[in-house]
Amino acid sequence: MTERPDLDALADDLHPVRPIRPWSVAAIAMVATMVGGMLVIGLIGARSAYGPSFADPIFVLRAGLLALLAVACLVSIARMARPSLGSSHGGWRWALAAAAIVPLAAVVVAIADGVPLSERMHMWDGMECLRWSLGIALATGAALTLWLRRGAPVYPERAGWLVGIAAGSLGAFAYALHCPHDDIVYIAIWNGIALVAAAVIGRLAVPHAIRW
Amino acid sequence: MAADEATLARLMAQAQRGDRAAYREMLGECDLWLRRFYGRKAHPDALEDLVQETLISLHRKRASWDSDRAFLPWLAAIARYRWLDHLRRVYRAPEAELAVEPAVESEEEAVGARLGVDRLLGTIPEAQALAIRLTKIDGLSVAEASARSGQSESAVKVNVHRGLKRMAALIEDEA
Repeated sequence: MTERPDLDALADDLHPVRPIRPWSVAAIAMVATMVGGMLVIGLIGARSAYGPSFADPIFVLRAGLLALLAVACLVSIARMARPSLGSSHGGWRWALAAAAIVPLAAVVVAIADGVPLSERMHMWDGMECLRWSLGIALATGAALTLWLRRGAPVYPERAGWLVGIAAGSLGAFAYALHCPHDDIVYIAIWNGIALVAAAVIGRLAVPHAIRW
Repeated sequence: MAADEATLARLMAQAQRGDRAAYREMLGECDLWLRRFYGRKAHPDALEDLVQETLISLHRKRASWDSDRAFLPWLAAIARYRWLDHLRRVYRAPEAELAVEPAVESEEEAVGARLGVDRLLGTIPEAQALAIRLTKIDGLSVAEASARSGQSESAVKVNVHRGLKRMAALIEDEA
């Protein structure tokens, strides 16, 4: 072995490491969402307390799409943490396309039934939705970012978008446990704003934190 | 004889468990591999820094390799990331002749061709690759690159910018 003080120094600095496991990011996201959901239910109440059921089809679709979007983004984030040539992590695009059906459906419904937007916005409830969704998203996004810092993502900007979308989806999912509204226009507007805001925050804040 | 994928993967798995002798041996092999990998796609004056930076990244990010997965594609992704980062930072390297690429064995040559930065440069339009090669690797000024390539100076700058951006989005691509 040739003498190389630089390589010797790196070897001397070695300590055991546990390889990053993809399921750990799922565990982090699940815990963050459960804590967020418990806070929502504990502090402002479950939607079932106001009348609407958890079995309502719109609620199931909304929660299902948000969860699907979050899972797709988390899978991509987990792959990004462990780079490799030939690695593919584009599944989140399909989930995002599926979620985009909600605003499209909202536009159709809004045009078809002619109810003024101002009557569907419910500003007070909408602002509460934003506060809770983004609050939970920020905490979840911070936890995901800390996890991702252990990894070696080679696309920091893309990772930022994905952390933002995943965290925003989980924040909106947790708040949906309280949200009494099942109007698709209302859901598209306020969940849409929360998701876009979380994605933009992720894109702006995360790359600086994970660049290596 | 250079270490193969299986040997490097075994050494890295031992290194993750804290085996310093295995890690030191692996670093030596990776040092050689990276010099071949970067080949002529790094200015000779910059090659040493680039290899060093990549080895430090390997050291810091060693938890991101999973023993269930191949080692060399992981190392290649890290090396490509460092190379692009290096190109973004280097505005003009000092003038010098490029070193002759060391002779390599055919198997390594094949791996290098599949994983290397040459392949990455090949994924972008020729005009962009040429602008990057002239300014970021050969060390020419924008004016010199413009005269050499026949592109206007602003086209050289735009092509460098677009080419680096495009390659940065394709780091993990094998195509």
